[in-house]
Amino acid sequence: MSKKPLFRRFRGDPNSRSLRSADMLTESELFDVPTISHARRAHVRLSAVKEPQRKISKVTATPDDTQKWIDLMIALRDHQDRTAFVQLFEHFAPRVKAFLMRGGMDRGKAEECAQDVMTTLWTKAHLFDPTRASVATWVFTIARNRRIDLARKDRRPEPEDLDWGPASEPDQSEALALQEDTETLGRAIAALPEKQRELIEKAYFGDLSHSEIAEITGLPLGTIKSRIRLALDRLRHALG
Amino acid sequence: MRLDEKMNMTTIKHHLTDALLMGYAAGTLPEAFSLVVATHLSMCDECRAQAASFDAVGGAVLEGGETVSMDAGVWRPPWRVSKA
Repeated sequence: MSKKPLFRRFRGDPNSRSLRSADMLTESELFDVPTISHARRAHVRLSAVKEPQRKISKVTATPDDTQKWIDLMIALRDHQDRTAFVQLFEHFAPRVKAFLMRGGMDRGKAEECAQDVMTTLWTKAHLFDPTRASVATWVFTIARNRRIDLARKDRRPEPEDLDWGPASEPDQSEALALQEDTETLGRAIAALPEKQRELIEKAYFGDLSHSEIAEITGLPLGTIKSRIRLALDRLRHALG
Repeated sequence: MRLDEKMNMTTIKHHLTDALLMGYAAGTLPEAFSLVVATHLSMCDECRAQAASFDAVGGAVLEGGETVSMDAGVWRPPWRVSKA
């Protein structure tokens, strides 16, 4: 896809692990991470219902499907396409479920929560904007917010919303550019040294504290950030 | 004039750290920290863009992550779910 160099932080061939890790964590930094407290999981009770063991399968990342999910999401958004929803459900629900279970949620609760997340995908479809986020990113934010809602009574404070929904006629090329950045980011993360990738995953599963997260440095966000920043600038001008 | 417009007239010199923004994206910040981050993001597009990038990392983690199959027989089509 992209012929551009991956990210500025990466020196040399982005496909070379040894070069990529140059800006990343050192071995000792990785092992200095303190033990993780599981106290915050206390609210999750173990399901009393016995369920058959299900396989947890490691799936190879296929970030190049980004556009496919966008198309399905737009079919769902604009035409309430049920077939599109089923396809999105089959892809994302098992991922959300696994994600929540990795964060310490029991199987039954994670199942329920994943169903809720997918229902929100349907009911809030009109808010989906491919110039802002990929479908995976959008699903992730819904799942994260749902997890927070379940963990505490108060919602996470949100920044004042910028009014840039589909009403503002999303630009096709902007959406494509963002998807390309998203795929590049996905590949970059998939190709990180295993220990660092695991640390990032842990952070998002909710397994790292704020101070532990501070240990993770050098994430390749330059390109995607610039893209979003430009979109924000245009929006500010449109509002002003 | 709205508050955010007023703020945009001045240059924001202090920005949030990546650790704060990543914690906010991951949803693991303590309440008080989240409030500070949300307040800052309301007025600072630089950090808002960085925060959105950390959301994208979460999307990548989800996309590239493991799967656990959904239980058979409890499929709930959202178009049949009445608003509770």
